[in-house]
Amino acid sequence: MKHVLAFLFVAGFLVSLGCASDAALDAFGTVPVECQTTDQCNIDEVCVELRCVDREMTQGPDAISIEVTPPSDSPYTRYQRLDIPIVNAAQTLVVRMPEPVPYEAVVVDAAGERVEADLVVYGANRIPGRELEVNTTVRDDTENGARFSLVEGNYAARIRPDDRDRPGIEVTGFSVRTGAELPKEFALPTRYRQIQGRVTLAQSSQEGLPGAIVRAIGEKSRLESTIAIADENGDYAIRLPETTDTFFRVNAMLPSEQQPAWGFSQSVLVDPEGDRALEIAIERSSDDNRGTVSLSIVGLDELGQGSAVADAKVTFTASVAVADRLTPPAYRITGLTDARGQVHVNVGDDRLDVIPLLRSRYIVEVLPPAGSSFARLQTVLDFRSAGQNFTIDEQLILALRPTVIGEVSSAGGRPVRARVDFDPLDDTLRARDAQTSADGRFAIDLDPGRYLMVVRPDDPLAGGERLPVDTVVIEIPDTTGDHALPPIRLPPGNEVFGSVRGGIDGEVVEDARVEMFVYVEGQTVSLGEDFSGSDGTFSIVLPIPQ
Amino acid sequence: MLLQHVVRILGQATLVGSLTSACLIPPDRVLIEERVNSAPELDLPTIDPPQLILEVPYDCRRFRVRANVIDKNDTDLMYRLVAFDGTRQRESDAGSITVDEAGEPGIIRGRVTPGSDYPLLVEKADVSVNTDAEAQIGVLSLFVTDAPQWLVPPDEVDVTESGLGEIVNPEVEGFPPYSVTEVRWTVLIEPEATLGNSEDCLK
Repeated sequence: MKHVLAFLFVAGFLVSLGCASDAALDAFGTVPVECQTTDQCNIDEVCVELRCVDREMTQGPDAISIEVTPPSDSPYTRYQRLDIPIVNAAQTLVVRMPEPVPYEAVVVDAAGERVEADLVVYGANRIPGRELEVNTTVRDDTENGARFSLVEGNYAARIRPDDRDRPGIEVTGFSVRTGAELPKEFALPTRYRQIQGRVTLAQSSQEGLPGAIVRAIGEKSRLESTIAIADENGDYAIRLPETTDTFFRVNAMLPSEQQPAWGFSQSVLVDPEGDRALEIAIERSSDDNRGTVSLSIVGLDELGQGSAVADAKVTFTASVAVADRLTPPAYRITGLTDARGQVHVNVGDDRLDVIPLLRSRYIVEVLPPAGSSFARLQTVLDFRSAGQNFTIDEQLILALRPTVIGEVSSAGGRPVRARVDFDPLDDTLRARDAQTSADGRFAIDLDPGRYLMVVRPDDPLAGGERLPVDTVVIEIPDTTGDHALPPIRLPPGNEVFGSVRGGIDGEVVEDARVEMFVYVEGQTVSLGEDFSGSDGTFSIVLPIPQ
Repeated sequence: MLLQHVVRILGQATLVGSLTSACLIPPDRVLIEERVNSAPELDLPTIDPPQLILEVPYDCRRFRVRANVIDKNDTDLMYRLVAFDGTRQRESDAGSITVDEAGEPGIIRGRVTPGSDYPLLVEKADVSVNTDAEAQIGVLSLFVTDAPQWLVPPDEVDVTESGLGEIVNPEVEGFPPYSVTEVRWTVLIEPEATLGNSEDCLK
C-alpha cells in the first residue's frame, strides 16, 4: 500500500505541474520552481523530483550496486547487480531474478573416496565484502552431496576437510552453468607443498627443540596447514593448503605445560610449485627469564580524579628481539580488566590476576569497552631488567576520549533523527555509533583516528523530504574535550521505486530483501533496504547523483 | 514469565472490559477504544541471520544482525544486542526506532564485533596464540522493547554484567505497561579462520 501511495504521489506531482507545494517550500526553504528536466532550471540548478535545486547539493554517486535476497522458500537465490546508474523518481527499476542453477558438490580424496569438509563458495564480480554465497558442510555419509542454488557465473571455493591431517584447497575460476554435470567433484590433491626443517634453540642451532607445535596459515586464503609436533631431534614437516598463496604465516610454540615460553611467528615466502626449508629458532625459556606482572588500568577524568576501567582488553606483545636477533621472539598474551581495573588472564583452566611474562619489552595495548569515556592506549613497558621470577606492579593511566559533537539536518534545514555509524578507517579502531535526538544533535566519545561517518536517517521520508544516507570522512584529533564536527546537511534524495520479478515466468517475488550499496573509502556502505511487497515493489531513498 | 504474561493479558482484558459499558455486545456504531498494549513483534522471516546457531570464526571482524519489528500501538521502540560469554553480558549494539504510525514496520540494524563482544571466548579459540584452542560457546540476544527506558541505562552498560535486557516497568493499575521481546542465538566461536570475508563470516 505504501508503494502504491508513493507512486500515486509521484504521479500526482506529474499531473499537478504549476501548483506550488507547501511541502516543497518547507523542504528547501525557497519558492520551488517546478521542472521536468534540468534544462528548465537555472544554470546552477538541477531538476530533482520535479523541483529545481542547487547543483552543489547533489553529491551522490552516479551508480550503485543492488543485492536482492529472496525469502528462504523462494525458488530463487541471492542476486547482485553492480554499478547500476541511479534512476530518477519517474523511472522504475525492475530487478529480474535470474533462473537459479541447482548445484550439488562433493569432496573426494586422491583415491576418489568421499571426504567430509567445510565448503565456502564465493562469486566473482560481487559487491566487495559480500562475495560469500555458500558456507556449508559437505558430508561424506549421505547419498548426495551438499545441495544449493547459484546463479550462472564464475565462482571460487575454499574447502577445509574435517580431517585436519588433510590441508584445505582453493579452487578458483570454476563456472556454474545450466546443464553442467553434477555433482561437482572437488578433489583433494595427491601431494601438497611442504615446509620442513628443524626447530632449534636460538642460542644453539645444533640443539633441537622437541615438542614444539608448528603450523602455518595462508595469508590470503586463510586456509591452514597440517599441524606438526617436532620430534626428538626437533625435526618437523607441515603440508600446506593447495592455494595460490605464496606467503604463509608460520607459527611455532611450545605446549601449554611449558608456557610461558618464547615462540616463533614469521611470514614466509613459499614457491607456488615447490617446497620450502625453514629452520625455526626459538629463544630459550627458563625460570631465569620468567616472571609475572600485576597490572591495573585507571582512567583520569577532567578533574584529575582516577577511576578503575573495567572490561578493558589488554594485550601484551613482546616487541624487541632478545640479543638483537633479526627475528623477534614471539609471545603474546591477552587479558581483561575486572571491576577494580585489575588485568586477569586465562592460563589453561585457571583465571589469574597476574600476567605470566618473559623478560622483554612489550607493546601493551589497552582497549576500553566501546562505550567507555576513556581512550585506548598503546605504550611500551620494559620488563628486560627484571630479575628471576620477578613480579612487577604496574599501573597504566588512560586519558578521556574526545567527545565528538555533531548535528544532522535535512536539505531543507530540518533536524533529522538518524543513526550515525563511525566505521574506522584504521584497523586499531573500533566501530561505534550514535543516535541523534529530536534536534538532530549527537555526542559520542570516540578514540582519536580516521572514521567513515555514515548518517542513516531513521525515516528516509520524514517531514515530506527524501532523506538519503550520507557519508563523510572525519579525523578525530588526539585531544581531550569536545570536538565539534561541521554541521552535516544531508543532500536531497530521490525515492527510487522498483520491483522484483522472477526470471522463470516473470512472476512477482514477494518479501525479497532489496539492499543498495556504494563503495566509499574502501568500505561497502548500505544506502538502504526494503522488502518487496505483495506486488513485488520496493522503494529506497538514494542521494541524487552529481 | 509465562504466568506474568497471562496475568497481564487478564489484567488488560479486565481493563478493556471496565472501560466499556455493561453490555457484552456493543450496539452498532459504537467504537470500543482499544487500550490493550501490544508487545513488539519481530517479523520472523526478516530475522537475519536466520540460523539458530551462529558459527563464528575466531578472526571474524564483525557481522550484521537485521530484523523488522512491528508494534501495534507504539511508534517508539528501543533495541539492544547483548552478548553473553557465560560469565557476563556485554552490549554489542543498541538503538532506537521511530515510525510515523503504530503498526508500521521498523528496521533493526545491529552489528556484532566478536573480538570485543566475546573477548574471552575469542582468545580461547584463537589458534594463532593458543595451542589448546577449541570452540567456545556464547549467547547473543536481541531485545526489543516499547518501554522508554532500560533498567541499565546506556552510560552504565560497561560496568554492569547482567540485566541488560530488562526495562523500567512500574506497574500501572496493577500490571506492567511495557514488554520486552527477545530473540536468542547460540554463538559458537570456532578455532578455524575466516574463509570468506571478515565482515561476512557466519557459516
